[in-house]
Amino acid sequence: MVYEVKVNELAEEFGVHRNTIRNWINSGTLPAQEGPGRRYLIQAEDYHRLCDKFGRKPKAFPAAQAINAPAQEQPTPQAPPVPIRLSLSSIHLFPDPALADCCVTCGSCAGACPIAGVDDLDPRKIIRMALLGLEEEILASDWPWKCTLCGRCEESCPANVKILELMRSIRGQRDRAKVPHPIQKGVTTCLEKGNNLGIPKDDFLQLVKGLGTELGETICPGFTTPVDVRGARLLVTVNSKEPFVQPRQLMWWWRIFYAAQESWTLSSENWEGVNWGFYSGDDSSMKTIVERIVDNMERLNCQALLLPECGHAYYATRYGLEKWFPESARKFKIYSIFDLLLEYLTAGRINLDPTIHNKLTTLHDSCNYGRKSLKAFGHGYFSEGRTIVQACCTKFREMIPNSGDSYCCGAGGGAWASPYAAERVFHGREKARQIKASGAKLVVTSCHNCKDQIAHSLAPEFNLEIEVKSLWELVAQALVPAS
Amino acid sequence: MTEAAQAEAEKIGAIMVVGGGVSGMQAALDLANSGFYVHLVERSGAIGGTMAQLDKTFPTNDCSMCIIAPKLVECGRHPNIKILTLAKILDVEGQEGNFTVRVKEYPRWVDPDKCIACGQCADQCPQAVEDRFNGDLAQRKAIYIKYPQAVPLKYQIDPDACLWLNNPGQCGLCARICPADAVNFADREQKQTIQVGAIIMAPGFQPFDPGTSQAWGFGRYPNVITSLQFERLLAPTGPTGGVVTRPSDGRPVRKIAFLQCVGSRDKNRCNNEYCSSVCCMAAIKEAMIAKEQLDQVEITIFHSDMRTHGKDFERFFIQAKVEYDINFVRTKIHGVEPQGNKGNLRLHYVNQQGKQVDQLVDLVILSVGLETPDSTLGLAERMGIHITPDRFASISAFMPVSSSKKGIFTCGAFNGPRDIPQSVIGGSAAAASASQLLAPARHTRTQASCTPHEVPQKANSPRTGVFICHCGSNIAGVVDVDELAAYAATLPDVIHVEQNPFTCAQDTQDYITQQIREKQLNRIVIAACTPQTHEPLFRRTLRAAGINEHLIEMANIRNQNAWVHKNEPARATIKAKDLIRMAVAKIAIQEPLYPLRIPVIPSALIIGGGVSGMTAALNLAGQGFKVDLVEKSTTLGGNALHLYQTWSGEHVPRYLKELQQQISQEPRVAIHFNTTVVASSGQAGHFKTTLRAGNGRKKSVDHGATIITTGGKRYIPSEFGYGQIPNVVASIEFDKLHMHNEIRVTQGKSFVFIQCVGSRNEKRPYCSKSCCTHSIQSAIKLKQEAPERRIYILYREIRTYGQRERIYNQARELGIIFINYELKGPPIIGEEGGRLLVSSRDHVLHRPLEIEADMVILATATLADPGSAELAKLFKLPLNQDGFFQEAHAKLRPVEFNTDGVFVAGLAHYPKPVEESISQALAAASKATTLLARESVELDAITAHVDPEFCDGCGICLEVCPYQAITLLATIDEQGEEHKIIEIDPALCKGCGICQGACPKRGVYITGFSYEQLLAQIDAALEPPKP
Amino acid sequence: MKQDLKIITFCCNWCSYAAADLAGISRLQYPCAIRIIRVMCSGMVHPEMVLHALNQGADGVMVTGCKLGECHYQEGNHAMLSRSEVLEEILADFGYEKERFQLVWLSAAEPERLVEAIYEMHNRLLALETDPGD
Repeated sequence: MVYEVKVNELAEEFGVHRNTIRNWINSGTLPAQEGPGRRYLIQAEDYHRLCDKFGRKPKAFPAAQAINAPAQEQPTPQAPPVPIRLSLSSIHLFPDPALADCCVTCGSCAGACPIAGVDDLDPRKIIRMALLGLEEEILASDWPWKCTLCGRCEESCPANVKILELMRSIRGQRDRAKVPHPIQKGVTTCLEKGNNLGIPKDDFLQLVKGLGTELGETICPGFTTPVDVRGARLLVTVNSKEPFVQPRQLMWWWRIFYAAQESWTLSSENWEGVNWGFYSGDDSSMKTIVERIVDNMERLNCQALLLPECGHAYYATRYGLEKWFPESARKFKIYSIFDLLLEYLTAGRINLDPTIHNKLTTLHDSCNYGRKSLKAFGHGYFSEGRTIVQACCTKFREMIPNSGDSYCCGAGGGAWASPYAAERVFHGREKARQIKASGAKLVVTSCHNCKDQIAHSLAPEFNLEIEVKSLWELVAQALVPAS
Repeated sequence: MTEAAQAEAEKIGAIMVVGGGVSGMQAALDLANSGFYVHLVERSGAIGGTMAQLDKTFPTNDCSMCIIAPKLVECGRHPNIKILTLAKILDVEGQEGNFTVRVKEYPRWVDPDKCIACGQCADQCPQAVEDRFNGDLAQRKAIYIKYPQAVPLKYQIDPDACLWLNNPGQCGLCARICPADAVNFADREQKQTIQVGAIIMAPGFQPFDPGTSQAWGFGRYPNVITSLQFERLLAPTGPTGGVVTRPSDGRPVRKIAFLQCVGSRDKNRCNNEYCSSVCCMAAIKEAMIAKEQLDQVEITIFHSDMRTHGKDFERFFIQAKVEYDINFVRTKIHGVEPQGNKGNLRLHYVNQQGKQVDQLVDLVILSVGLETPDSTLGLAERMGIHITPDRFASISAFMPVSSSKKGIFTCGAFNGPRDIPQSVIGGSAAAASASQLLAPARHTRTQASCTPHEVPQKANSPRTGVFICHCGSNIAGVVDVDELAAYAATLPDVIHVEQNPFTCAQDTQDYITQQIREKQLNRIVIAACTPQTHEPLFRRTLRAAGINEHLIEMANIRNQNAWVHKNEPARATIKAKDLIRMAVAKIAIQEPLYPLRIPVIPSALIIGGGVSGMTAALNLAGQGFKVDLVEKSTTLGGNALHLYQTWSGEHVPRYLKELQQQISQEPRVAIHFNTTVVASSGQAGHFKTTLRAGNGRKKSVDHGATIITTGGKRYIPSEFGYGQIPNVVASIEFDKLHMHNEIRVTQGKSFVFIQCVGSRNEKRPYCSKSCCTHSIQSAIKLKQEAPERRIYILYREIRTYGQRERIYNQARELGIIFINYELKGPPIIGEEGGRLLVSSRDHVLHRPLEIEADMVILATATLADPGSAELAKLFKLPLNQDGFFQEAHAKLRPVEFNTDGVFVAGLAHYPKPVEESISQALAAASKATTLLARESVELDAITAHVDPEFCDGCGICLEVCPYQAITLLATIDEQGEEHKIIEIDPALCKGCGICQGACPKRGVYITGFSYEQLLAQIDAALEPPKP
Repeated sequence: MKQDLKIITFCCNWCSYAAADLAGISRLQYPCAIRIIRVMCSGMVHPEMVLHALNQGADGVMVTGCKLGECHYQEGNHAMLSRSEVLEEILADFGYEKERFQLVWLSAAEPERLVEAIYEMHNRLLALETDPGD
């Protein structure tokens, strides 16, 4: 049977944008033939396959829309599914009952999960598979890698199943050769070269010195980039994406440090602030990368550590510090960007002019800084971001829901780097819908991945006419020189 | 005197009941009716509790207020119940039998002795605040009554809202306007010390506050409301007059979603791990009522398990699905989001097929759970009452209303989340326990009802006095009372007319008494408010004046005249004249009535020697009553002989042994083994029952009360290969094998439990209530013995209601696997290589499953005892469709029958766990006590009488009498002619008058409502006005 | 023009009489024509009593009782219901319009329902009064 469909209608049905449907058609995710009057002709089985992929209940098309219907539909014979055998030999990969056993199969996680249904899976099914001992299937499934570890599932779970830990545990038990390549490569490169992208030390030093000189000659007279300054108060770690892709972004922070007269330094070695061992479920690599930061702190005799403007970097490093280096975690002051900016603001070390930003502004909460930090460390950064944004903007409007119930941008958990682009965009549909509903023209976010996903993926895909800024950029632009 | 005897002698025959909800009221009434004085302490301004807020009650959907109102009024007017409102307990000293309680009473700022509840103060009060009683969906004034039917019906001032109290001198309008001068701004809090022998804690619950989590949007989106708010929206007395519209914009509601388990079964968003037990049924009920009102509305109930485990609950659930077309979706909704800015709400969930669904609704109802307020926990701590991890009173299953502190009993939702019948049963059970403790002090603190000498009256010469009440301006403001009084004086037989500002005031009672004596009045007409609330008061006044208390008639010129015609004073005055004329005409032909009194035989017959029967017997014997306990087998224990532990892990066999021992040592209990009941006659207080022993010998027993505790039977399955496959066993058999370490159990590595075997199917559409808990307990034990064992429970809905949820969670944490199956697709048992292979489907993965099993255990249904039918016929009691005894009223009278003096408890009523049987048995004992503690029973004076002049024995009335109170007598006169005439048993007659309405010859009449009296009223009403 | 209408209204002690009281407490307003006679049960009302009231000049008679299935005395209201069929025939024989008699079932908590029924009855009777064919 062939259905005649409109792109609009399909987009509405799947909760995505027209562009996404066109992309599916162009990429072959949805085989379709162009028909008359901006309609497409799709085969019933292709439509049903699509429904299965995104976990939708197939819509019963009205008879009028079904054309070329044969007199009698031949059901495609399917082999009966092989029963799951629950025998004494079935294995439990996940001995902690909090990872799966205590699940009451209520389904809240699956309802809360923005990519539930993709590949006909959802958090509840993953937990169930873990419980029933379907270890081969679960390790072979790509679903745990498409999951962005956003934690909405866990937030709603009445039984306190540690779903995120389960997902990481599944990721960690997969053969390393089968870990999505960019992620595994990031981890190994970082272990070998000190940063995820393998930027050589000399290139890095040349870049930061050059940028520093430029800044010193223009906006911040006398500025030079401090590297390996022993005894500086603050050690600043770097997300390698910044020097590699948009090095000028680094200057936003430096302008703020300059304005606040901060004593700070970069490290010439092992300056990487992100930690992809968190994504790949590889605890030993994760620990090594955290340990390097501890070493730099000791070596440079710094008192405080600033983690980069990156949700997972903050979460992973802090998690690692508290888990493996609890003494260091207590000894050093650990700053998220929120803590530092708010400290500058309240101490009057920086002054901001909100009239710089006149567009209607909204704030996207990073899952790692917000919901997940709240659960893991007892504090989620919700109000801080709002205080800072509202100090820089005249018009602010919340997305609904927000804070702890915020939707993930769709790029977390390593998804931005992973090869599952269609799923990432599908996931982001919720965020896109929220942004559109807010009416905001400027979206502020405190996480690099979120920023990339919203600016470079969701905005074009969903025709969002928005500007996306990081918090530091927003603050740096609003800086008023001390009088 | 020995120390023990001294303690007995010092016991105080008064009890404090803390909490005026339905459970506390029930406890208070039972005790007050059993010879004890009750101090009923209520924290708010009126008793009634949560039940007063409900629109209807499940599963009968009858009006909640109509059910609770009689209890309210009875508490309000009971001479041995003292209600302390706006009061709380400060501390308690002493020990069982003799406690000293310090109570603080907050000021009401309105003198309850003066307030006439006319409501003028509230009309004029300028301060409006949100009305908590109406779920903050409406406003009330700073001076207010909690609800229109409140007891006591006295206004109170909200100190937070009142202008004067916050700034003296600022307003004070109410004080100026009050016609009774009742407002008292000088009122201050008071402390008093009360001596009681026992304390009953019935402090109730608070609904969970869903505003504590953002996820549900409560408090942010106006169309998200709680189930309790929805009750108010549905209630005809609620803020919208019972019309359901969207709170955001008042527009019609088309789609409603109920979210279950908000604040229950959740260890994450709140710390309420337990199931709140009542919300599933409440949601179904609310959905049904909404559906009846809004025919286009689409309703979905999102749930995890529908817990419809009580009597007739499963049928209610089926009815909701089949007849009401209410959707049930088994998924928990994680949160609510707005869609657009028009008030619509969006729900995202995964349906039972595992597919994603976005659904837009108009109204989301959060089925909020029950929790114990912190204030109660604080009080419990001060009293020394232990609390469970779920923050309810810690009680033993074997003593389900006794707290950890001797002499302090607990009932209602404080003992764990429970519904109204369980709360009412708990109230009675607590009363029974307190009554047993304080039996030596019975009748020591109660006020003896005064029965002054009645002056004989000449029925033929009425001398009528008419008292016209102004009720402040309530009547006098509309009706011309002077004209009315002048008119009344012209009516036949009227000797005296009086006008009073407040006829109900205590001083007026004294004055009326005096007038009756002076003017030799023998008929009284009170033209005032309604007999429903005030007739008892005036009857007492007549008694005090020495005339028959039935010689009074009230003309309702307030509620049914002045208040409903306030804009037509002239017509209202004419109508008031008619109403007085009608009353005068009716009372003129009223005869004095003398209710029938029959002596009470202070002993009980208990049929069935299980846990329920023994519990009731020991309680009654402990109170000093004689008991005949009839057991058809040769041992006591009944179904509990097959049980090993309660849900909380208490050892049942040890308890049974104790019970058996106690009962055998109790001289007041005569046990009749191997005996059945073969005949019974008589009525409440005075039964005669014939027993037949195993040897065929009969004997007869006289008793005042009867308790039926005949238990139930277990279902013998025909499904799942039971009886053919040796390793498929029923749960009770499995328990025995398990206890005796039978080799199949000890060596078994994999066990599969199958739930609902014989229950919840077409033939038996009821839940057997205890099997989920039972299987989970067995499973836990198996797993704890050998953690490597694989254990699976195949269930349809897990019904570990209340705090039982803990063992369900424990089972999962231990690795027991729960698999859901549907009625239409039951598991199939096969065999493979000498082992069992159970085929089913996984409800999460939607894939077939095959489970290798060593043993399959069937959780079999509990059935009604087949002997119930015989017994029901003997005692003229109804059975329900499933063969269980049908109580008089599921909520109001859960252990009683319409036949007075007969009570029921235990499995004979419905399947239930042991602690509920014990509770019910105590409740039945309490009800029996209210009867047995009296010397005689007084039957209602309003009964049917035969007029031999007109009755020709046609027998039409026999057919219509609902109580079989009428029999036909045949007599032969001197001429040898046969005459038929009816005879009415005054003990059975309830005075409904259906016979009078049916009699073609006027051969039968109801005293007080006779045909002639009604005709007199009609004629008076229609009498043409005098020119 | 005739005097004000008079409608004899039998109210059951357990439901409609309480509802009539509640109507007052709620200050609902209705025509003055109503004369309430309290009975223990609607099943107590003899059909001849209805006829008698009309013969004596009542404009209409209402019998109000508990909702069917909720009778305080099991099924007294059913007894009234079945009697009413016969009664309607008798009334017709005596030349009374069927509008002059009405049964209403309601609970104690439904004063609005009672008031609504009163208005309906009253309006119907007014219509009969002004009927030119009368």
